[in-house]
Amino acid sequence: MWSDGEPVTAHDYVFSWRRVVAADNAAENQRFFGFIAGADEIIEQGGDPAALGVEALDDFTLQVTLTAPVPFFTALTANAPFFPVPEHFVTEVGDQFAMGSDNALFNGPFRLEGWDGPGVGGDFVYVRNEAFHDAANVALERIEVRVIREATTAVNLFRAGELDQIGISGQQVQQWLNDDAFVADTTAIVSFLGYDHSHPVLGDARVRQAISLVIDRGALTESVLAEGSVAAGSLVPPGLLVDADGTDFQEAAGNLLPTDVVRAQELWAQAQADLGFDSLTIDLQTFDSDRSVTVAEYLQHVIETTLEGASVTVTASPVGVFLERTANGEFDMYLANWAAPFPDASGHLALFTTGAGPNWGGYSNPEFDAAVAAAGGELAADPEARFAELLRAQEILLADQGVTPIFYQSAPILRDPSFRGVEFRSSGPQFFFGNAYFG
Amino acid sequence: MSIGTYALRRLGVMVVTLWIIVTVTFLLLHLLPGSPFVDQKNLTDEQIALLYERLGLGEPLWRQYLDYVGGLLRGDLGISFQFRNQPVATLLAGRIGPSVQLGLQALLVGIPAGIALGSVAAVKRRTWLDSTTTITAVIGRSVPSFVVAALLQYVVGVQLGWLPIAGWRGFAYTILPTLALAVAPMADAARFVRTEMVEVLASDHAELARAKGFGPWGVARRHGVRNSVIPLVTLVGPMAVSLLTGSLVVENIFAVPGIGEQFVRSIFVNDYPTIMAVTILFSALLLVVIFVVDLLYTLIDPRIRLGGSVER
Repeated sequence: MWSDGEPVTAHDYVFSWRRVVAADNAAENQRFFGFIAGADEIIEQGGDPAALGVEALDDFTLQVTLTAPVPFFTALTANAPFFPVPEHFVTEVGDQFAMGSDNALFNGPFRLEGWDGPGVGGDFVYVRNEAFHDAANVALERIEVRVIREATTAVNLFRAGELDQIGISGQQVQQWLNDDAFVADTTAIVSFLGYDHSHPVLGDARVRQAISLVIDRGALTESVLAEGSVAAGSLVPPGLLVDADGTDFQEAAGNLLPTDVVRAQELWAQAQADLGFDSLTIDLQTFDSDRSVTVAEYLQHVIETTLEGASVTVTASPVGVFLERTANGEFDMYLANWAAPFPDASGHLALFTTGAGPNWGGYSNPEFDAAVAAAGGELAADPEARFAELLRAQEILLADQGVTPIFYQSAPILRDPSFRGVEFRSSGPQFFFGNAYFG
Repeated sequence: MSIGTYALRRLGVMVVTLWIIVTVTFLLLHLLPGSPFVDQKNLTDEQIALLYERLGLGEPLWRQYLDYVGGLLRGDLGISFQFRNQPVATLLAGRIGPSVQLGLQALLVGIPAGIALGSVAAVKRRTWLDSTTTITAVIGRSVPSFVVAALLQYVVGVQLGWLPIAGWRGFAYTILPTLALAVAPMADAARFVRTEMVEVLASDHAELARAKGFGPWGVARRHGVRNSVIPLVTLVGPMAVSLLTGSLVVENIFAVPGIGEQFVRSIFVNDYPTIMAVTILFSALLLVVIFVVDLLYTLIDPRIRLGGSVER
């Protein structure tokens, strides 16, 4: 039920999904709907949203027609772009919908209060939604959310008992690492190095392999970053896909990213001889978060000290500028993060197929493309075969070092130990408080 | 000339100045690298084209400029690029209050405190009182406001618990950020007033006052303060500006929902309308402050005529 007492129906879903794909909406997450029949035509050619392959058979039955079998579709619908909005309410308030907590309705365990709108609104409150179907089992009455930009202030408030959960980073992690309040969940965000594959030297796989082999991911995550991040053994982070036995994709992949400085130097020397260069200056672009800068500097150090003749210049820019540079190919290497768009291994792998938008470096391997396509095409209805094919695709990518994964980011937080039952989600909204309680 | 004529003339100059600022900022903005879209990597080419059109970015530069100035004259500051349905005027209105309040409070606390300190230093010059106040002023100038802010927060907020640590829920929440911001104006005022007053106290009419029997504090009060304060008044303009623009870090530390942080963020994401609006707002504020300051001069020192030193 919506918080105004009206029922949530299949019609709301139809209305909402059509609204997202409507071309004049230019919603950023329209691409998630590409699995639904008719979506691509509507989005790209401005077709009638009513042609979308979704229909309400009755008030409580929704029928969705997909373009191909999508094993993770139900998990996908747990993401915000697929959430329903109340048709009766949106048609009433039009443009002002969701511009403030008064202009929205809620159907989850909590409703929002006291929020003045994007950019203006500061602190806000989640209040238990009595219209929620399982309201009786929601223990928390109110969750006050405060927006605090300065990390030390948040820690001070936590110390004084005014806050029960805060996100922390950097040096604070080192201070609190052994405290009961410290929790580090592993997110589905992988930090990796991308390459300009049209570069005369970096275009040679041996050079990229050499770079990957000199990175000591364990030392980087444990000693340099030391905030709960985990060394990557492959590209796809944990928590996204499991096989029939419950084995996680990341575990099944094993460690495809060893450290071997001797081997790296051999490959480097071979490349130097064959390609005919003595020294190489690499332009490494990244964005200006503390973590990225630290990692970039570590990479610079490790590459310069082990690969003879290599030098790295690091440029850290604000995100907008960084994205523009990468989109325009203005880099030799780039250090970026990518979060899982939905709970599946294909999200990260599809990034590097030939011609994919985020494939900024232009990596292209037909064998890899074929494997990814097969997983999304003829193998889509066979989870075991699909799992194996995606593993194979990842192996191809990493043998080539099309990109070099480095680590999976942690989400370090401090939480009052008596605050329990908070669930961490690696894709979609990070925390779920519906089952949280104090005890 | 009369105040009326003077005010009108100044108003005209202010409008022209503001217009020049708007034009220069507009041009500079459009030279910034980067694109106005927060999640550009997620958008298809068609969507980007659509958004460009909707936001009017496809038009030639002169057309965009005229549209913008036209909007300004109607009081329309445009729609934020970051928060796509939100008019910039709403964004600013929601956040400018706390910043202005902090700035004003900092001035009202810092300047009188500075005048008092400077006067004491001047009257008691070459004593330990003078040295102490001078050292205090130098420290006040050198220590960045955010260091003071962090210290105050930790000592007064966390350890002693006398005042709230962060937030904006009542007058008590404004005290620590005001103190942190007041230190620099206080230090500047103290040094200025001391220098000026030492001169004044050595002057002929001070001599005369002392001859008439006034004690050192009496002389300071009757002659010293008024004369020393004039150069200080000149400083108030730039002080006000640096308070407004420099309050960002202090606002962040005390979680004050002010405009500083929004301004900086909008620069990073190329939110042109918000950047323009805040620049115009700050410029307008500064122009008004300077105007008020010029009027204040005549109040403090009747020898200064409005509009120039030559009387016709």
